[in-house]
Amino acid sequence: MNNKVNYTMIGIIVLIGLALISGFTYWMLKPSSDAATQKYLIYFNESVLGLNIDAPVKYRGISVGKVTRLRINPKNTEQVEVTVDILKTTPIKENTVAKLTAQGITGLTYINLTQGKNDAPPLTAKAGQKYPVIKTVPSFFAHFEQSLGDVSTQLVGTLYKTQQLLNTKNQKQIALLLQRTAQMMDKLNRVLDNRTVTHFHSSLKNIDELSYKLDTLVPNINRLVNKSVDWEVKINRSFDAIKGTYFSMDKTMKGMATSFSNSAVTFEKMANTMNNTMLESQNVMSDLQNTLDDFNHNPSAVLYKKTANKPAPGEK
Amino acid sequence: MRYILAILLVAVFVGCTTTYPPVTEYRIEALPKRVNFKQSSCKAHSLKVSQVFVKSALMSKKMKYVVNAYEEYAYNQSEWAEDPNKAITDVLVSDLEQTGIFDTVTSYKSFSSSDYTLECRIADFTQYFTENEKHSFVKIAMTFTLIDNKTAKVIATKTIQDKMDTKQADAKSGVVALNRLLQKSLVSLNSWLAGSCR
Repeated sequence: MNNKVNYTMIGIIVLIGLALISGFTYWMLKPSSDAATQKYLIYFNESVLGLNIDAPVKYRGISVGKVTRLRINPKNTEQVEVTVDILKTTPIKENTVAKLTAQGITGLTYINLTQGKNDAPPLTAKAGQKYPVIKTVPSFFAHFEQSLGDVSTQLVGTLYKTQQLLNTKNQKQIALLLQRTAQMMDKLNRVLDNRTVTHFHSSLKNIDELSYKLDTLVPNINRLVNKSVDWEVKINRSFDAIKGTYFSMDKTMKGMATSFSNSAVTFEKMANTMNNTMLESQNVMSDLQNTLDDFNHNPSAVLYKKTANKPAPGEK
Repeated sequence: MRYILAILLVAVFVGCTTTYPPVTEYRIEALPKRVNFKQSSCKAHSLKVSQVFVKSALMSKKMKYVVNAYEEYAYNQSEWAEDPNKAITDVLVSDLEQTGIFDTVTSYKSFSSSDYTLECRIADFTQYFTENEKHSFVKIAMTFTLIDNKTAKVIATKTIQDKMDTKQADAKSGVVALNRLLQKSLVSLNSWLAGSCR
């Protein structure tokens, strides 16, 4: 058997194989630019039971990172500090919240991120923070547990109040109330005998007939209303006519008032004239009376009396 | 014959005619005494003066006088130039026009309406003689009434009474004294009227 082995070729092939293996390994382990991550801190106020290192961080169901560290918050022992690596391409914003979510029935837990409004600014590290801190919301179980606690508290309160309500005294009162209710029902049963039920039926029948008559009456009422509207229109016209007459009368009355006023002035003038005339007549009558008195005293003076003229100054 | 009868009739009339001395007529005139009332409550009102109310003796030109309080006679040679009631009314109008107490003053003959009316009643405006007729005095008694024409109600009244001795016991002195008393009464009237309006 001719065993001719080309050791040089083998060595070259082995070297090429090693080089390929090294290249493949490097290709596989080479950090990608898309896989560039950003560290974030999440502080949970509840138990993170089921959340492990390398547990996934999902953004609306898409795996965008993983948990890299879990520890109790050194500054607040009631909180759990979770450090996560999330792809930089993930839109983590100020209103993004983290929530612990159970993964089926396996008991494992992952962190689910939910975003609020789209126009919120990107989340950045505040002063004094090493990494940006994502806000949290209680998980379903925490919420359920809290609600359960509230229900339990309210149930205890309700039971206590029920116990107080059902004390001995109230039990007696309730028993009395039930007894009286039974008595009342018994009386009601006696009242609602066949005769009463018959009367009740008769009353219902009368109401039915009344409704029928009312239905018949409604059209008549409608006709009456229509006629009333017509009548109202006629009345309005009559009122307008009366109004016009009134205005005419008012005008006439004003004219009469003016005439009366003028007449009053004229009458007043006439009365004044008559008054003056009467006064003059009175004076004339007085003079006449004096003349008659003179005549009575000396009748011959009417014929024979002569008064001498007194010469005026400068006259003889 | 007819002419003879006419001549006889004329002769009878002429022969029987009695001649009386001439009659002197006297005027009633308030002597001017101007007082202009600047502050008067009646400045914005008008007044009408009605004719004075007098007894019949003062509605004649005959000048009457009284002797011994009850005997009334008439002067034969003296008369009033105008009936005293008319003359005193004119004197009142003239006086009130001159004093300016009212915005306007009109006589009772005027047609115009006025805010107030002044009525005057003269109870006495006579010369009195003693029994022996050697001494005389004059007496005047007047009552003035101011009437609101809107309500026809009297808002003020004023009575003025006064008397004065005459210088001589004759008609002329009596007239002089009566005119002075009238003037004096007008002064009192003006002062009263200036504060009577509302």
